[in-house]
Amino acid sequence: MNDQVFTIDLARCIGCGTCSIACKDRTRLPDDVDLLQIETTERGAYPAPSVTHRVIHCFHCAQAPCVDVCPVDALTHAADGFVALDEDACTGCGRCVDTCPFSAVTVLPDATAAKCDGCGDELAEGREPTCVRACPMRALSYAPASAPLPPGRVREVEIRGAEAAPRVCYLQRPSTSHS
Amino acid sequence: MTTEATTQDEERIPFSCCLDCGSRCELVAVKRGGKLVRIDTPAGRPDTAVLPRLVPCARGRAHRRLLSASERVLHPLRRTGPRGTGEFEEVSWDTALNLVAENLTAIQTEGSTEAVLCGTGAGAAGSPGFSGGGALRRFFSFWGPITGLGGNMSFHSVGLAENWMYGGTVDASDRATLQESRLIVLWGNNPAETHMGPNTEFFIAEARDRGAKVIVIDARYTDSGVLADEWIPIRPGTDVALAAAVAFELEHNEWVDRQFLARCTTGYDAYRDYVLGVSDGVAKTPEWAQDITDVPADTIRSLARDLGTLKPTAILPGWGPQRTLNGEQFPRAMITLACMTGSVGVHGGGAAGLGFRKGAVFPMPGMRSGPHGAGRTLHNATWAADVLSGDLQPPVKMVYAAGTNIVNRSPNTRTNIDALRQCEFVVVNEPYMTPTAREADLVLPIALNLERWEILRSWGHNAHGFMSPPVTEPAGEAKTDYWVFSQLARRLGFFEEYTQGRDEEEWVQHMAAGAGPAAEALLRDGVARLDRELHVGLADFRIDPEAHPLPTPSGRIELVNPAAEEAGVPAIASYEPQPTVPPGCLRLLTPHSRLRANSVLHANAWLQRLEPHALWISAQDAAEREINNGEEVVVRNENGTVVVPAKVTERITPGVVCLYQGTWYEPDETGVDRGGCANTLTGHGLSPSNGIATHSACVTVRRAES
Repeated sequence: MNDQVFTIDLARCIGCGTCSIACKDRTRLPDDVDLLQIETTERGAYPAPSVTHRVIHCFHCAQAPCVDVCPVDALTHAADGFVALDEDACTGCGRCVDTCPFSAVTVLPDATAAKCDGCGDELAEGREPTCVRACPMRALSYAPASAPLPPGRVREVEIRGAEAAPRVCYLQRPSTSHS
Repeated sequence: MTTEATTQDEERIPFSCCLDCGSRCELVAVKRGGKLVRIDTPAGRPDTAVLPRLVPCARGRAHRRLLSASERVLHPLRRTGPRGTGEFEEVSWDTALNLVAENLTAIQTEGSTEAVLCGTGAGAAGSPGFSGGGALRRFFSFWGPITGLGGNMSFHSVGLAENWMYGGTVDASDRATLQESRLIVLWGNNPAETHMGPNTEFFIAEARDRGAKVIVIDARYTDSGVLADEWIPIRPGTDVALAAAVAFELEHNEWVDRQFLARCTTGYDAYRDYVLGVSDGVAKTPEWAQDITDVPADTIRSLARDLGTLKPTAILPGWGPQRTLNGEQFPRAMITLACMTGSVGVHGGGAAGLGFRKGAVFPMPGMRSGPHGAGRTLHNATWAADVLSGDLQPPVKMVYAAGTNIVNRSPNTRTNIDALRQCEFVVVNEPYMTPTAREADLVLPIALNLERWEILRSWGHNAHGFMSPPVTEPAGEAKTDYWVFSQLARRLGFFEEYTQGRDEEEWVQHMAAGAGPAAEALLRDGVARLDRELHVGLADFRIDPEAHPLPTPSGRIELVNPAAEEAGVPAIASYEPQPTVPPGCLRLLTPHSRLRANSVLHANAWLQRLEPHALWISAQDAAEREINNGEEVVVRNENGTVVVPAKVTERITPGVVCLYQGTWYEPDETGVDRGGCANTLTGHGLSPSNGIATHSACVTVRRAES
């Protein structure tokens, strides 16, 4: 059983976009298609504002609603733990797009869906996923859910789309709330 | 060779960016079946404190999109329509080169080679002498004395401060030493965007995880704010007053490292007398500074307590606060505080200077230059005004720009265009159709670094070398700067002198082979790491200043500088106010963006998408002007008008607006800049010692008519 999760340290992410560009370069999709997005949230008022950058992509949910709704079984739970997309089977109906709690699936102009594939090919060659390796802050990892946390971090408790059991763990400093 | 696993037909070629970005990072060009398919980073090597992976930023990772940018110039182009209209016809390389040679010969025949303005910048920085401005300067060194451009646009006043106080460029510490800091003060510094050395922001985050406190002093809550415990907003141009009040508190509470001051510095008494008010009757108390800086007195006391009691302290000043009409004083105040807190020469401390360490730029055999230097030099910030003044003898008739988008990158864009339009012949070597290229009579298409041989050294913060072959064919008919100038040299009769019998590959191999301890690794792996242990700048000096004196008259750090008075500024780092913001106006800051290196990389669709160009304006100032987030605003002053969307935010000090520099000038039919080029709004004013003052601009802002 693959118990690895995408771990994203909100206390380190500076929103630089390097992961996003690295992903774009690997996937060879059109300029305006991003499989990895950075959601930036500004909170608070001058002179005490705060900002959070949140990396979002397909988190290969254990109870993925996209798999459930796909009428042609183009989306499946693969053996490596990722949610796999069979582009040949996909008809581009877009039901997965509407059901994804992270809006992490896109339908391309050629009427096939596109989403993060987990960089299974990188993992097979002994490398970490592209976004993880790309991060100048070392804020991203793909590691067992039980891996020790960096100093002074806690796991964010409220998780978007928790019912889908996404394989993501956001870390934050205990004093701050990023919900 | 690389240790990472690769598939059978995959080639992984190490390279680095040639950007003027302040860093040199490790990139890998991945080819499959002989074709460039992606840009990657090295994998499989662990991070260590001494040899961390030099992880590139988004700009480095976006190289592949740059190669295919729609703005690429693919053929030599000759102007057919009026300047600036972008009407060109394709011509052959022979025709284009003959045209340049004819114009140069005509000017030479007239007897005044200074009629040629040699426009150089850092658009293709790094390679020693055969790309961009370096190649152009060297070309003209064989031809005749031309009109050059001078004046440091980046760190003029930091350089002066280092010369006056340390006697020259100060040896800084590896960025990795920041992990030992207990306090890091990012003073007008935003490494989350500007980096200035690979991994700088990473090491700051590591230090914080080890218990360090991180403070950001800035008019904006930048993305570096994520890494900080505290943001201290400040009125731009008043940092030196804040520093003086901090110094007052350090004195008042006996938090001054008197032993360090006595052993390693001279002149402290004069600064202390200024701070305590002995010399001018005004004590620089937190209350005094509060009125000037808008920083509450209690915040100043707290900052002083941190600086006085948390050791070691790294004060990391940015370069933004010295691009003002009073810019000389800021870096001097930072160095003075580094001395008062005893931070110089300490592991985890720092000299508060430029941050360039010894050994970063290791020697390599260079290219011999010709006998001619610049006959005269105009200032990078004001050359256009000089050209337009009519006072230059001889007047500038021809401009040759290579590796520089001078229209965009010099203050007062409109004037820069007017100056070019006054010249008879403008040639531009460019990979892209920039606003400068649009003004040219002839545009010569130039290859990007992945399309040519490249050799690069670290920018200053670590000691690495990079050497890379072309990994893909040049776009269209693009050629290298070196090829262009070699061909011109052939036409003008100094081909042998210019090339010294080598082509680019031979030059790169020659330079790599002569790179001392780096040579073997450079030639074998394409990347060489000279670091073997962490470097702490000025450690020897701190331990024994008698045995390791600085190149100042006293051998110590000098806090009183007679040379400053000669340059028109006070002898100590006193607060000198700049002109206040006129009523109804807002102070404009035009900092560097994480998406570009100056105006280079503007033509990258991937990077543009990361963050829309917008004017940062405080919620308070926006409300007063009935401006909503995302609405277009008209930003105007005596230099020009820009229309861009507003980013209404709580992350900027009221009274201040911010427009990232580097997007391309894009005038509409009425002359309004729709591209949001920051220099459309900056002027020609200089500080007393002729430093650029782009962050002293003021603008009015109103909602655009819908």
